[in-house]
Amino acid sequence: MAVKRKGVTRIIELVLATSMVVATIMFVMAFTRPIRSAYVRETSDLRRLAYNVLDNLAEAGAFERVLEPALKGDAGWEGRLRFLVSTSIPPGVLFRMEIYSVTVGADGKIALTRLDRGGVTNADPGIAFKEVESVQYTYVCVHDPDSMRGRVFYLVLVVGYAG
Amino acid sequence: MRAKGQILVAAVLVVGLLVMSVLVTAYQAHTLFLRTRSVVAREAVGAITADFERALAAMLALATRTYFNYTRFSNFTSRFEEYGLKPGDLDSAKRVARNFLESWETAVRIVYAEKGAQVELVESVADVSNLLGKPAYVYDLMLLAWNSTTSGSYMCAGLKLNLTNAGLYGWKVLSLVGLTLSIDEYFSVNNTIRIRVLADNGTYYGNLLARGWVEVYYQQGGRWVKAKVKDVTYEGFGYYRITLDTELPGGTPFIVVASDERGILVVSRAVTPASPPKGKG
Repeated sequence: MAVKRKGVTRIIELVLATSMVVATIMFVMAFTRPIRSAYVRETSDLRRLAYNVLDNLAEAGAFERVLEPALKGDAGWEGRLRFLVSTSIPPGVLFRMEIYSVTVGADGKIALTRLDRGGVTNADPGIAFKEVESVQYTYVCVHDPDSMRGRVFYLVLVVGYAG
Repeated sequence: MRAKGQILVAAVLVVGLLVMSVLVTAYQAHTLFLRTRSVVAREAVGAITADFERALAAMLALATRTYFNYTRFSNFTSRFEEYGLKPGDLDSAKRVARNFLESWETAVRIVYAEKGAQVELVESVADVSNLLGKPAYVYDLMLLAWNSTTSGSYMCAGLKLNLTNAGLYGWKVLSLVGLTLSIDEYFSVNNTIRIRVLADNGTYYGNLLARGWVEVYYQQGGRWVKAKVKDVTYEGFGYYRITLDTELPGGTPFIVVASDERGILVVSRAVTPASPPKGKG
């Protein structure tokens, strides 16, 4: 009987000891950090940047003003859009943008017509992107002029660092 | 007996460490999953929701402009003729809006296909009694409550969204876009009208001068004549003071037309206070 009681006491001691060890490990894991932390550049930052750029241009009504001449066949609109995007992107980040007009056919089918000729970019043709993020964006025109209201565009913005 | 106790100690320690390591690994994996999922889903959902509100605003602008003056805004309205839009006809504008939203829904499905987008539009009811100061509900997509002292143009719809490849299911949003215009007072002393403009759910609208416009018409000889606006001043909290060049006689009906930058129109109507009777010398 005495032996049994001793055994129970020992088990309780063991459980307590284990709890102490586990608590110590958790404490150490939670509060210790490497002395020299390595900061990794994540591509998700690029994705956030791309969405912010598109959102800001949309809020400002920039797409209506830039894309109206595009529908009229004006050749200079790609340069204007390139300038607008360049001013919103930090130095060292490359971008390439594709713009499609979304139209609905008589049969109800959606047609995507590419408007740009690859000129909405700040990257030279020979430079490859690395750490690339690509975002898709649909845009229904709501701002002036009236000739643009209700038109739908599909924008693809690719951002990355030079390879 | 002693050896047995040592084995027990060692076993409990090993089991404890194993359990801890499994728990920590599972926790880290779960955190990583949540982080990666939320980033992809959050931005895509934000972009789709914002565009949904733009689509609603564009269709409400189309309906209000068609209803108010189809010819004047023909650069916009005539493009939707082939989809069945008829001048001054609100029902045809609602049909066009429904078709447009269905096309938008298809476009979103195509554009966000790699995220596994499943989109569903739901017509809903919104209570705008607090905006109009009387019982009023937006149903059947739109409500154009015009020609009162407090008037409004509203459109309401819901969006259900799944991004199956990003692990997001059951996102729902109910959007109400609109413009509310109240004629607060007419001051005959200096031909000034005080109005209040609210956007969507009652947000003070302060862009009327920079990005929108306002016009005043008054009734003269059975027809509506455009009054010459001398000055418009923003007083804050959505209040504007319009000074007219034209003096409106007492008891004259007049309407105020306002448009926000999204092209949504609203028309409010009031009557100038009756002129005080001239006393005998």
